[in-house]
Amino acid sequence: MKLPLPEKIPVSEICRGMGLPSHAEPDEATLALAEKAAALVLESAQPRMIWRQLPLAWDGDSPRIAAELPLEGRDIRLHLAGCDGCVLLAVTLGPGTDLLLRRLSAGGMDLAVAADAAASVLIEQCADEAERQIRDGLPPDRYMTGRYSPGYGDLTIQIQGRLVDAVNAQRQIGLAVTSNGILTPRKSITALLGVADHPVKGHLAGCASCALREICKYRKEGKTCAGN
Amino acid sequence: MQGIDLFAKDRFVILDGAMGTMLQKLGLKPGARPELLAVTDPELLRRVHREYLEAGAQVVYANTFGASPHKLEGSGHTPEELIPAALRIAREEAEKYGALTALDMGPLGELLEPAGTLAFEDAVDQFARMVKAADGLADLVVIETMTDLYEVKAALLAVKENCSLPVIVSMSFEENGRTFTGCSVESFAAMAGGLGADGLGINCSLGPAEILPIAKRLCETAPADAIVFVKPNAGLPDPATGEYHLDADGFLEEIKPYAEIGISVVGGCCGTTPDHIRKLAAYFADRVPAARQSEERSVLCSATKLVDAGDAVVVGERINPTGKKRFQQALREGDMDYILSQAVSQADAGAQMLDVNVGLPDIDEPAMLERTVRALQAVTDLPLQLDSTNPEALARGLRVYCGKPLVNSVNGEKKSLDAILPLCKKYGAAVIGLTLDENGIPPKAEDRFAIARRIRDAAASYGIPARDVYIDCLTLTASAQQAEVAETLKALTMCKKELGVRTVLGVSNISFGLPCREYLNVSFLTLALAAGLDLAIMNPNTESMMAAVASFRVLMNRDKQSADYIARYAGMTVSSAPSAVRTGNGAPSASGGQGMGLAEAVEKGLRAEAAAAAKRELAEKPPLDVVNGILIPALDEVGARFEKGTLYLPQLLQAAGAAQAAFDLVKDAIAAQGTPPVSRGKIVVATVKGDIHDIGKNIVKVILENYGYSVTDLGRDVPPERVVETVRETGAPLVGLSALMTTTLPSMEQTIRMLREEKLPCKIMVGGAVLTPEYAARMGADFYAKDAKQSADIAKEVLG
Repeated sequence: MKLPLPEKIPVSEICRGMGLPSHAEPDEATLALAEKAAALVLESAQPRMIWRQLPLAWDGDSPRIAAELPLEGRDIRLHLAGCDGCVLLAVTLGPGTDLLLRRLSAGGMDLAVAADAAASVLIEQCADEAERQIRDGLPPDRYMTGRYSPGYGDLTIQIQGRLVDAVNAQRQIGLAVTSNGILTPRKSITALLGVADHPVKGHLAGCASCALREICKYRKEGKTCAGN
Repeated sequence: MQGIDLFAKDRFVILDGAMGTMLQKLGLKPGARPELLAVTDPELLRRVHREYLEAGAQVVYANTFGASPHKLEGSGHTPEELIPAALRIAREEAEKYGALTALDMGPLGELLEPAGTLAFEDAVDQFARMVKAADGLADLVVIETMTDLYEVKAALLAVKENCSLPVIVSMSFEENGRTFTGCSVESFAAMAGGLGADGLGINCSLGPAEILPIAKRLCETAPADAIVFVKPNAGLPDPATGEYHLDADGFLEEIKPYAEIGISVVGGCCGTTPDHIRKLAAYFADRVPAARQSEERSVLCSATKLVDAGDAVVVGERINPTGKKRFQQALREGDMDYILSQAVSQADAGAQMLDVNVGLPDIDEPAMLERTVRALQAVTDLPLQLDSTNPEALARGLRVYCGKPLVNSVNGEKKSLDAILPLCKKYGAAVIGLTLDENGIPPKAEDRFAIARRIRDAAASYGIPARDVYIDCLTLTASAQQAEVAETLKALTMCKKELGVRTVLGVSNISFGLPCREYLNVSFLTLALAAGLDLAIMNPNTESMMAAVASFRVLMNRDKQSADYIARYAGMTVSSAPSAVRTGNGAPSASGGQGMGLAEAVEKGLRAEAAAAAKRELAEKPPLDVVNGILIPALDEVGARFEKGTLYLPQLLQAAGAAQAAFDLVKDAIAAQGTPPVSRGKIVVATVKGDIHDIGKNIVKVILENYGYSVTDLGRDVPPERVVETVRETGAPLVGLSALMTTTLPSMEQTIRMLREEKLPCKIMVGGAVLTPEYAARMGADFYAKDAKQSADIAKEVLG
């Protein structure tokens, strides 16, 4: 299913993605670079989504999607706590953005890095839109958590292949996985959202189990990547 | 084959319906592997086949869609076990009805390079295993539900090279007439037709009504001798439930118009059932397919871009070492970035195709052509023209090319024709024929025409139609052979009119040896276009030449409403400055004035200013003084501010870009002197096996190059063996490895271990998001680089 493109990609977030700390004001050249990158990325992207809601079973306190797919780890368990259903969501910007990023890398790295950052912001925007559409379609007595993606916290990225297969993502939106669990096209997201009959908030993994814990720039600034 | 003739165009042949969605209906659990049913529940498969055969299907697809080696990994089964089992089941049922059995091959489940990490030859090998496993059990091979044209090529080659069965191919398109990867129907028809597919079709993704306009386009563009077929879904799925919206009657209503468009084979895909096929079979049983009109145009294509040779096409000539020292140096050093930058700048200038010539006496041309084609198609969607007379180089380049390429060239000599035309046929390429032979270039138009006819006929004898032959009547220089310029144009017109071929010329040669070459080039180009030139091989970075082509298309009423011309030139004016100026007396360059100093331009990250300043400096100082006296100190200053945190990555990279622009001119100056390039030392960089995040590694490379190091960039997903081999070959004292993910750190560790085991005397630096200095040390790396600046500091420490 096609997703609409947002009108713009926020330049401040692109600058942040390019390694500018949140306290630093981007100079004119950097702003121009970010804007150029945003325009190119918007032109290249053809965002698509596919999703499916499956029952969530619990073996004691370990969640399992349908009969087939156990989810291991403390963080995903906390995220899905209290849920009896799970939405599997896959979103991609499509191969056009990958081609753009490869082409730019053959030129100067400044624009290539800016476009990479812009594409990362855009895929999050698209996933937000996809999540909004799913949420809007829920019956009034059903509630849903936010998105939780493989590789985040202690949920292994190796389950990407199973998730992508479960929504038939290659056939439906052209999204596949490498043998190392990397999504291709590169600018893509898969996520798990818990569904329950009572309000649920989900659980962000936080820094404790994050792989980037020791070297995270946000953490050094006393902040988190969730933007607070 | 048995009773059914799939290729009879005087009656419809009925294919079966969906397998996957039928199995799910019959109780297959989501996430379970349907291919295993051949051994776990053969009765279930028999039942589905039987129901379709009873409904009227004349061809059944065996349940082998996903029985490919990688997909079966971890299942405890192999293609060699499951494919014969599935085929036997299908065949036993099909034979009872006199129907045909097809080996069915779907996508491999991983994306091919450059989008993914699956190597082209690996894909060919996987499909080949499937084809071999079907030996003697299938009547035909079906390649289906493809969205990547490159994967179609891999599958078709595997079929052609491993069996003699007929093969039909279908891709899945979106409503815009393109697949998810951007492949158009026209490109599919051009490439798959050229590779010898016996049938071309469309399946899955959409219902009959949505596919109809796309199918019409396929009927118009598929080769005349191929059949065209469709296998649509039962409408569109409900996003929440996955149910398809068309019942058998609804499906029939939507599929009826297909009787009139030239399709001769129909069936159903996802969501269709025996009921759908029953209605369809009854409707088409006594109907005759409409005759199909194939356009048979001269086209060339990549997966996503198609060029119609009938419309004054510009072929960029800049990827060619002839007479270009800097390009030769890039080839010898394997500097792919330089070659790619030539491609990108020509594409930006408006080239519609690119000529690719990487031949030098002292390099391995076959390996280089293959490598260049692969690298080029990762960054540009322009169709390529492979320029070589070395059959082995052409074979390797053609094999990995995705689309329908043009081969440059054969000539009238039998040896050339016999060596190269079979390759063009095998890989579905069009071919340029030079009007010369063992006796040289005939002066008279009539004699060149005679050679052209010979080439066209030889091509026909290999099954290459005249529309895929491009005759080059050869541009001779006006300074040396003035009288023969008109003969070239005359021969061109004769070939075009009388042989049914296309024409091509390398334009710029006309002016060799004369001043102000551009004037002659533009005039000759215009004359040649008027004489019937289809492909102009030229420098697209020369605006007056591009303007001549754009003007020609307006004046000949091809560029309707001058839309392309206006898009290119709206809001611009032609410079009124005198266009020919005296040179050589030290007058200021066009960029004018004294302008900004080089150091300042680099520090501010201003590319154009840096290039202009470098030009001025190089006019006065030796190249190395410019590097060591100005560029490096400027970069050091930027680097110091980056470390202090008063300047950030975007500015660092802009400064690097400006420095790079200056370095390009320095390298040109050094190459022009003919002295060997000067380097501060060799460094090998790679993103490790399994990882495809390469932006960090690319940043490091650019910064290291800025500091004057020669960097061999092995790219991403690089096996440890390749790193070891390259370090051994280059003798590089420093290796940089990058990995972004925790899951790929083990392959970084393995690479380090192998470098140590081989006792290579190199230092190793590592970097990447998830690495820490402690982890780097534990893996046995010599250095941890937290960013690109630090990698340059390490290089200085190791190499000086």
